Amino acid sequence: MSYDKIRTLVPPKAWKHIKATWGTVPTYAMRLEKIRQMMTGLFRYERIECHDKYGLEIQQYTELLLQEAIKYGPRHKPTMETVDFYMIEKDLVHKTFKLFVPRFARFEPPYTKIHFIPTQNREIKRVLLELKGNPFPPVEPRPLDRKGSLVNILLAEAKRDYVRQKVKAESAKEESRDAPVEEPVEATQAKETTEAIKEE
Amino acid sequence: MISRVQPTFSSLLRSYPSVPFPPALPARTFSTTEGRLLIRHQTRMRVVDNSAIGQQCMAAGKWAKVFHVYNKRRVGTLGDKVMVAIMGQKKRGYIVGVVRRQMVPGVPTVDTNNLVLIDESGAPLGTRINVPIPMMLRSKKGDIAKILSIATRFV
Amino acid sequence: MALSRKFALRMAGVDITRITARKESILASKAAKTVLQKDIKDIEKIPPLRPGSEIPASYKYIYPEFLASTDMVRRNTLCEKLVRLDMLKRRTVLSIPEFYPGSIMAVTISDPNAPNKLSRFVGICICRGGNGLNAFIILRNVVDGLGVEIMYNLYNPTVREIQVLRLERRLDDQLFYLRDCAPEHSTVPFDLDVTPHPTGVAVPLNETVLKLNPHPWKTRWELYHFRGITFDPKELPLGRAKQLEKALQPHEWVKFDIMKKYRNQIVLEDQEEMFKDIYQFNNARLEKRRSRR
Repeated sequence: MSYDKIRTLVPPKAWKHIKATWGTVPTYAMRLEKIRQMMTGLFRYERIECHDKYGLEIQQYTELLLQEAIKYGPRHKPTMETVDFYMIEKDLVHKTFKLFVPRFARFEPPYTKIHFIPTQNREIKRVLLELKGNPFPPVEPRPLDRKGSLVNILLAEAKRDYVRQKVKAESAKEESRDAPVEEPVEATQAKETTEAIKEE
Repeated sequence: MISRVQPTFSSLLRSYPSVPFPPALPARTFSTTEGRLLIRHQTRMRVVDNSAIGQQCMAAGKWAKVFHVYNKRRVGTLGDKVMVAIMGQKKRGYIVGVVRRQMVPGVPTVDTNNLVLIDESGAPLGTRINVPIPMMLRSKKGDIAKILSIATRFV
Repeated sequence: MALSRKFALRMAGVDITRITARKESILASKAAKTVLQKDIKDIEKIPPLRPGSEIPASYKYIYPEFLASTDMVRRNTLCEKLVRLDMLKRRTVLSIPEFYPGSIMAVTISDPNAPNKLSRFVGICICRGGNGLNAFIILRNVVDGLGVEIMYNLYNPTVREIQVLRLERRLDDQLFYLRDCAPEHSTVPFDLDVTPHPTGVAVPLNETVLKLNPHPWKTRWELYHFRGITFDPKELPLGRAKQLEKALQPHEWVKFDIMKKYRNQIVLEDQEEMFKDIYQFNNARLEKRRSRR
């Protein structure tokens, strides 16, 4: 199968970091086992907290898996086998195809989001990996509507006032331009009268 | 703000007490390294000229064994002088073919490490080299130019 | 000190990683069969790289150096674009023909040490690799009884001419095992004439299967999926026949490792982007020729 491009902001250096051990020896199978376990957790709880390298790598796997599931669906045998492999708990297979696929078909990729969490030790980076559209309250605060504050009301009104004045001035300018002929005569007449008054 | 209700990875692991361990390859893997194919102490080399002692040792199947490389690194490449042990004697020679892949384009790699024997003055012991020699040796200065005169073919 | 297997093999001149990664390439894939094994006289009938794209699928096999390396750490789109433009500039001066590992080729380079300042070497292309301006080939020939292999960079300005004397393909992407085969299979006469390959005709597949020399071998050829060689497992040294079965079988879970497949490929979207330049270049050339007539 050819894959579509993963549209995440994962840096290429984070592409392959998980090294799980069988006893003391790192093996390929244990690596996949760890990935499986984390993905099962992510699909069940829709938001997990982990080490940054693991989170970034799991993000790639989930993106691809969801992409495949959306593209091919449950009737496609290889897709079903891969989803079945990654979901250790088999009720999550149903959840993927019946809940996630219709949910994410509405979204555009990426379907996951990573948040870096503050830690006491600067060298240890923890990460929160979540699927979009999860039922929990958002990690980052929703932007508040601050239009109702007193300062903003006054500022808004001042802005409107300024605009009104500008409009008035411009319309006055245009009116003066529209009536060109009369103005010089009146001006000269006005001048003559003022001069006459002065002489007197 | 960040709820700690969501489980961490270590707690997930605890929730799977009996993970059926995956089919794994044995931990001990076999070695497939070929070695660095460098010419240094103890390397055996094929004598490529028609000198008497060279022909003798190749016929007997006892290739020349390097025991000194005239080099700071003590590792020889194309055009380096070496001291070899042949048929119980010490002889000097020049490296004229190398198995290690040359990363420089145009420089050939050959199937055997080839050697041309010289005497103490630097003149070749044989009268002909029957095997192709890299063209880049022509640009090397020094005694090696004496050997190139007996070469038949350049690659 | 134990060297990593990949490094040691690379120093010996065997790029084994590419064999396993491109196992599904040229010879096994359906796409290649439709593109390379059919007589396609009309250019329009070649299937496209991707449904809805103008670029033909044959570009993956004719211009593989235009694709970037799969190592994501080395990827840089701007650098790649500039490199592609440089490659096209070189192609205006030097014609780099279509060839595959197994074709017989002649390369002439300008060499200050050579008598006429030109040196020509003829041989079988045993390997083709590199990305961008690092694209290289290795030619092998047996000269005066000595097997000689020379690497050439296709876009090196000292390369004066690249000629394909006989265009054909073999069962494998790399023919390093010729080192451990009889010398007559690697011998090519230096005065071999060009056999022209007519346009539109499929590239012939040379299905010879060679027998390896008796042990010792230079590399453990039995551990890789070479289709062009045979050997008797009973002749292997002690203990290696046991390891053979396990080595040839990939791990049961490799087929589920979706990121591994993704990491080893360049996505079709990006491939299209990379082949766009050469496609436009070729079209411009065709139009020039037509306008001249």
